[in-house]
Amino acid sequence: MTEPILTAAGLDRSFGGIHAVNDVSLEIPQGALHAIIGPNGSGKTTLFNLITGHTRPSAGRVRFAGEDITGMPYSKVARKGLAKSYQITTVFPLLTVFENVRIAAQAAAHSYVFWRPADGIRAVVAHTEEVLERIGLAGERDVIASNLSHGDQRRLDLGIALATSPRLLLLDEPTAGMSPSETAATVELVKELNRDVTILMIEHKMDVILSIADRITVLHQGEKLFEGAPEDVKSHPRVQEVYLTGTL
Amino acid sequence: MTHLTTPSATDGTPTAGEAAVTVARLSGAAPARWTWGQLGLLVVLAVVVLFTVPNPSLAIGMLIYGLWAAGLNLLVGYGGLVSFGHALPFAWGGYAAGLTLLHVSSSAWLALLVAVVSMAVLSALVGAVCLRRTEVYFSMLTLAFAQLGFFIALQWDDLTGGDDGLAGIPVPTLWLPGTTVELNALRDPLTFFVVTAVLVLVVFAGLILYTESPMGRVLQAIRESEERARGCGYSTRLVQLATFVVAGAVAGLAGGLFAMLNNFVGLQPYWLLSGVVLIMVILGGRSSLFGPFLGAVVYLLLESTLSRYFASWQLIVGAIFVICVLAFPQGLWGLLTQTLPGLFRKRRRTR
Repeated sequence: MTEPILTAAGLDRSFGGIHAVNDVSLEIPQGALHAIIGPNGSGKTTLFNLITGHTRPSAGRVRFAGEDITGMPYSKVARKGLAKSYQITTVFPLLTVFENVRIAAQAAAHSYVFWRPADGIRAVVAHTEEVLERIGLAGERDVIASNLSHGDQRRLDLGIALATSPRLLLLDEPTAGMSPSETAATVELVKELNRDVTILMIEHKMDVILSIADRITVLHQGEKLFEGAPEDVKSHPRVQEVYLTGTL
Repeated sequence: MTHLTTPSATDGTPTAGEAAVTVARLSGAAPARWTWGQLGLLVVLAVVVLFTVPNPSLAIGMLIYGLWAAGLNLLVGYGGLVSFGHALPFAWGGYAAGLTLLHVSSSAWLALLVAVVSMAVLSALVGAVCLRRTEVYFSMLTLAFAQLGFFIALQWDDLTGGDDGLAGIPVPTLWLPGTTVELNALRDPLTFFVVTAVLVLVVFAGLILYTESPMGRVLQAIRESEERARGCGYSTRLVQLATFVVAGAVAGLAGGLFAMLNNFVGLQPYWLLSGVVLIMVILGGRSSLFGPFLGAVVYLLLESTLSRYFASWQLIVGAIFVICVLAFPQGLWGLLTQTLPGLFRKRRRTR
């Protein structure tokens, strides 16, 4: 069996007196679509930040693609092939949709080139167009990103992550604030993306999670409450309790 | 570094060029982009300046200040890094070129080379410190370094001439294939103008290429969202530092040329121009390289005209500046490329 693409072992982080993440371990095998769920404040986003290097863990290690990345700066983690889309939409607001994706697409090979025009690099332009097709924004390529609808901005956010050709994609609530039809389209997109990239996602909408994830981790008050297949999560009494009452 | 832990940037934090958003929102599409066309505009502007500005020293000064302002706009407009201390590289370039001409050789190439290279090295050091902070803290650090330079230039009078400056810098000679010319702005202003114009155009073309290159594009992306640029894998500080060095080197070149133009370097005006060059950038517009160039020309024109009639001409320039910022926050360039065409379009539509 091949090594999992991402391993988090005993991750711990407290802010002041609050134990945001408490001894959480994860193993994400190559090609998985793994979901993390949990009520507000259960430590999901902090866990993401520990993985990406935004926050240093108080204890524990993170291994990605066979390398220890604990405490590595975010940009370096990104260069290793770990991309993230944001809970609060983060795009380049005053650049065109095309340029938003193109910036990400050029990162792999042309980061610090200053002697030739960026728009003349055919491979990057072609890759950008491909990603725009995939996320369904090819028709909006010349629109300034901040003029897009909320749903389209969410897709662009995802597209930027995708354009870096990552090996692991972290999605922080990709359907947050989306209408039912936008949600359905995004679910389809995520499913399709999972054909060639491993995905770890945070999601609030239970129906979304249950329909696409192949494995689910439930966090509660910073601790791992349960991990298993979707059908087991549904029937797990403690999970039901947390989700129905919000407390334990 | 608390800003690393918070998801940043898009939650209503103002970025450079909010007005561009408004314009973009109104039209719903990207504003027209000028790239190499700017070079053509600069050629036209240089020719117009050559034939209409009667004072040759002023005409040459316009080219020098224009280049300096265009270089500063790499930081201000493209990078969102507002330097309050861009007099430092200009003055340094002036002193470096002046001292080389005084003590080493009368070669113009050597003097300019020393100005540019030494300033690039110094910029890397200063930038490495200033870029540890962003926004207004960055601005304050650049200001502090410029003040530091001013006082060193004032105190170290063995080297810099202190309060009196370095007068009597010899006329530089410029080696060209097959010939050597004297760069004497008093006796042969046309040669000086042409040489400066060619240098300025070449460097300006380099600046355009830089803004259009992958690295220059990343610079603009960082201005929009540094967090996201990091997430794409970019070492954002490195890109900003490289830009700081480029802007410093260009200012060093401008300062060196200015020292040759006046055969003088001193505290005045060199060290006192951080605000002036920033005004030129904002007056001209931050969304292009040509805009600040135009801003420099217009500013110098205002200065030379108004100072002839009013002792307190700066008051009038200041008032004009305030009006421009309030009415046309995208500067003259925004006025010419966005606002006016927009008006025409609207009129056509209503008709």
